Amino acid sequence: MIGFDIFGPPFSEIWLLGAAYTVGLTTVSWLIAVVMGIAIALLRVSHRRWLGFFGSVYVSYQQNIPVLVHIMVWYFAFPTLLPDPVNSWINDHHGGFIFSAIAIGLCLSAYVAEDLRSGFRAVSVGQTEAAQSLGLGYVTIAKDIIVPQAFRNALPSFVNHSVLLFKNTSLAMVVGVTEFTYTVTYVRTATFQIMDVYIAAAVFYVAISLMIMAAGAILERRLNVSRGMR
Amino acid sequence: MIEVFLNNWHYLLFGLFPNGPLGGLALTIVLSLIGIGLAFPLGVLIAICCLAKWKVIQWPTVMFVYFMRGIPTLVLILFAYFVAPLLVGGRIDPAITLLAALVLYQAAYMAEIVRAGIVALPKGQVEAAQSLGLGYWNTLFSIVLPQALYDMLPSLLTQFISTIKETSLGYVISAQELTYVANQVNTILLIKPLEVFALLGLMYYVICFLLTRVVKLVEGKVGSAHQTYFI
Repeated sequence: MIGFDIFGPPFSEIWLLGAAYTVGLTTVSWLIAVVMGIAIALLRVSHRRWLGFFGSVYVSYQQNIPVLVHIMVWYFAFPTLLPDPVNSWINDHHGGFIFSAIAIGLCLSAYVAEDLRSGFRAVSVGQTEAAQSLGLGYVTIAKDIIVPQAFRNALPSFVNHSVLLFKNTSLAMVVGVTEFTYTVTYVRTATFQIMDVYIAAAVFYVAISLMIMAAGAILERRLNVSRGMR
Repeated sequence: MIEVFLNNWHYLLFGLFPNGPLGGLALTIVLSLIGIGLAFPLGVLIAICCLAKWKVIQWPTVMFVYFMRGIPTLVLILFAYFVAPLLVGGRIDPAITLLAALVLYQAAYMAEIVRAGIVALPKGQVEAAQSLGLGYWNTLFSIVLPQALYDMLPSLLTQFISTIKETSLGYVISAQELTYVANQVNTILLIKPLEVFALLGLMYYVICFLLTRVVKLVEGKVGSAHQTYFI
């Protein structure tokens, strides 16, 4: 095709930067999602009613509002509550990146919490009873009997939600984070190679999504997850 | 927040409706309803193709599903927004573009649900139908699909909720749905981002929360039907 080479010298670094931002944003928000997800799942399985209630309010708040709106709330609305010095510090330190990582991470943490909780509930009561009748203590039962099985049960949908989290990082473009979709838009306006840039975007995202799915599948095989149980 | 709503309720709920195209919350709901209405039959079709014995039919559809599961909705919507006019050769309304992208996307997810539902049916159902002399299509349409679809009702409703949430991406291509309209209100008021975005979140929350209640009810119905079935 006559025209610009979309991977040529002026753009090659921009593509790499976009890919790096996407991977970075995915990593940070994934860590937030996992840590918060475990915390909320613990609240939801606790015996104290009000803790469980708090957990369910959190999950329903995060799940019933679109990720894009979460990002907007964090980026446009939340800073008005902060004092000016804090705001200017955040603006100097990639504010869009920080807020979209928080928004995406917290939103997906609700899904992770639900995965873990249903994985936990799928472990039959007989497992605990058998362990108790063998004389094992509370901590040993939790650590060696319940948690490994709960984690195995939760794994397939946890992998799906990790892929979802990765795809949702593209929304950070809306608040000006220079991740891959932003890069695509930039190169598109610079070169007008519309077809080419979007094919590049599709290849990038589909390839990484498939890699995450494949990694999940390998892990499932390692841990012998029986898919029929779901 | 209440004041913002009272001053802008018509724009937020209906967009410019009587004097212009439908927008706001009404457009969000209309798009989701049409979207799910079109994605459902397409999803069933894709699921049937994915389970087909002929590789020629199976492979392209399986690849389509993986492609749709791998690509972000935003990229698909932007792709449709910039490429579709090149193919059609004219301007297309952003709402239509959004709808087309969402239908393709949801159809792929719907197909996964339908496929799982078909696979989960006891094998005896198909064997019994075949031993009664029913052919492939008869087995599919009068034995397999009715049972599978009934069991999947809750997941299909969940998919409707996720479609409502995904229409918010119309903001990026300036389709006049709720998120876009709320951003317009924010731009006009300028000094009340907290109120506007809290209101926006609340509106999505109320609708999706009510629908999740409906899903819970349906789940109970489907579950209890199963219990009597097995007794």
